[in-house]
Amino acid sequence: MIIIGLSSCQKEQISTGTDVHDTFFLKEDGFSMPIQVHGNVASKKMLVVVTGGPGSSAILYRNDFVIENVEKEFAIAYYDQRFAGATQGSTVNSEISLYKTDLKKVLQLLKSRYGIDTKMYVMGHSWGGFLTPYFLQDDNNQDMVKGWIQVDGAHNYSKNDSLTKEMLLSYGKKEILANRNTDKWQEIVDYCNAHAYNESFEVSSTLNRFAAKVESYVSEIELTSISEQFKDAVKINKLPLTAQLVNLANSALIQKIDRQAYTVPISKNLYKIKLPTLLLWGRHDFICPTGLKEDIKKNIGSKDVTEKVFEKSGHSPMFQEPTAFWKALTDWVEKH
Amino acid sequence: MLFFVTLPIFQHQTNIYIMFKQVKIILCSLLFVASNILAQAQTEKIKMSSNIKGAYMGSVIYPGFKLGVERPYKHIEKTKRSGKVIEKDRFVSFNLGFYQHKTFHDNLYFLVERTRRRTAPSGFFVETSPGIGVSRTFLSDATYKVDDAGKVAKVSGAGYTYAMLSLAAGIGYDFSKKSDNRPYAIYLKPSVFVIAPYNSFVYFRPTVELGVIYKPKTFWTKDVKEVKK
Repeated sequence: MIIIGLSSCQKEQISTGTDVHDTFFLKEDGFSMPIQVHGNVASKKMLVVVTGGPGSSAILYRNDFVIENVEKEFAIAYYDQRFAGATQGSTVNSEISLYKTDLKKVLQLLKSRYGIDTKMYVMGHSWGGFLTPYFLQDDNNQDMVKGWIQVDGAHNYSKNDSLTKEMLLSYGKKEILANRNTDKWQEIVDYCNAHAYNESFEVSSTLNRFAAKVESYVSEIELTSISEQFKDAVKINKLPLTAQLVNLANSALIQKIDRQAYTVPISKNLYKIKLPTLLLWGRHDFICPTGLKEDIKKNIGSKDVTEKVFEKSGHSPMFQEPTAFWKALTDWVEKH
Repeated sequence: MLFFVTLPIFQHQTNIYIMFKQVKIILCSLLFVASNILAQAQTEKIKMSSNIKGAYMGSVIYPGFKLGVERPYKHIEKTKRSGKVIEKDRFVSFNLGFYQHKTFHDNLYFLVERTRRRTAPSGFFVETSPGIGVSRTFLSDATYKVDDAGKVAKVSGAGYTYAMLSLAAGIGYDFSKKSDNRPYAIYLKPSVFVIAPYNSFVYFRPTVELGVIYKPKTFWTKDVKEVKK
């Protein structure tokens, strides 16, 4: 009786309106991936967040600023990928082509719930910036989507490593000459000089770690707001924290999902993407440097490409310059 | 991150000989101590009632409950030099627990714990309870499947069955030590449980129990080995 009672709690709630808060799950390949839809569903426009990581949670992007300023304009769908965020399950399959299938099914489910006429915009950030073009290049997947928003994305892992190393070296040398954080930069410069960017996965991981670390050494980056907004997200969204930690460790340490991304030639197939595209980048992003934005501009098949660089941002302009970031994004969505 | 325990490798026979000699000395010492203890202890059978317990069980900020029965299997009374009597009770407890985490899951579980409780004459007690069980989660909200043709269907009763391990340590106060008219105790017990296999790994969750143990005079009685030292 208890089991029947608990099963009946899983009620289907499909809301319409300007202030919607729905949670539901996509069951795929043994995983149950949570999807939360918040905001103005009546606008018939929906931003689908394809999160970074791999292993991070999409709902971390939802904070007070987004609730007050963005969800009123259109709806946002936050979905957690397999082995990420609050995704639950008891299976093991981490083949990256399945992530592409998951995203397709998330979009199909969203369209089924909120109407086939709802315009979908997919926003890939960091690792999500690999997954999104990977998905868009496949079959007729672009038919489901109205626009592509790429935010500091890692669409080409190999090029990414080379650009990160180059940026660490050039910035590091300048900082050493200027006598700022000399010891810390010297260690990084020495490491970069001693290793080829494509030497091994360990070198790649170390470059990535350095790239994340140096954001705190660069005075131009607006750092203060990140921790506050992260706390906001944890508080507002009642995150299952231990699930987040377990999945983060699972994605990065156990499944090593990143490794597979080196074998997929995204740049070569960018010509297939004909969608309106918005490229948003932090000027001081060492993790996914602005050179990756240039690579997209050079290779994409779309004629409608808009770009915006945030001068006080590193890898996460949505947290570092939220006002400018979300204004650029909402203006673009409104036009498309 | 996995940590492996490595055993030292003895490369020389002399080392092995020394090791066996040391093991022999330790075993003999343990036997000597154990035989002394046993010689002093008096063992008999007594009839003891099982206890009933109920608790609010919060998983961080998410509410839940735990109901259970403690079935005794051993009672030890140890008289100290000061004359104070320390009671040590051993139970096997059968528990039904539940918590609700909105936007994540509801978890209903059955847990068998082996409780070791040490009660001072004042009534204060400490206990440890490792446990093993089975958990059935229910996803908090509607769940869908999408087939390869893009057809969407609702899944009923979505959730998972997991194996469960738990470790808990708590403190409490037994009112019955001071008065027979108050056959109950209160306790506070933090614990961590682990469910597996969870996304090819494990999922862990801290919980805190705040509960009451009711000690009826006769309920599901059992002949229990009583040891007096």
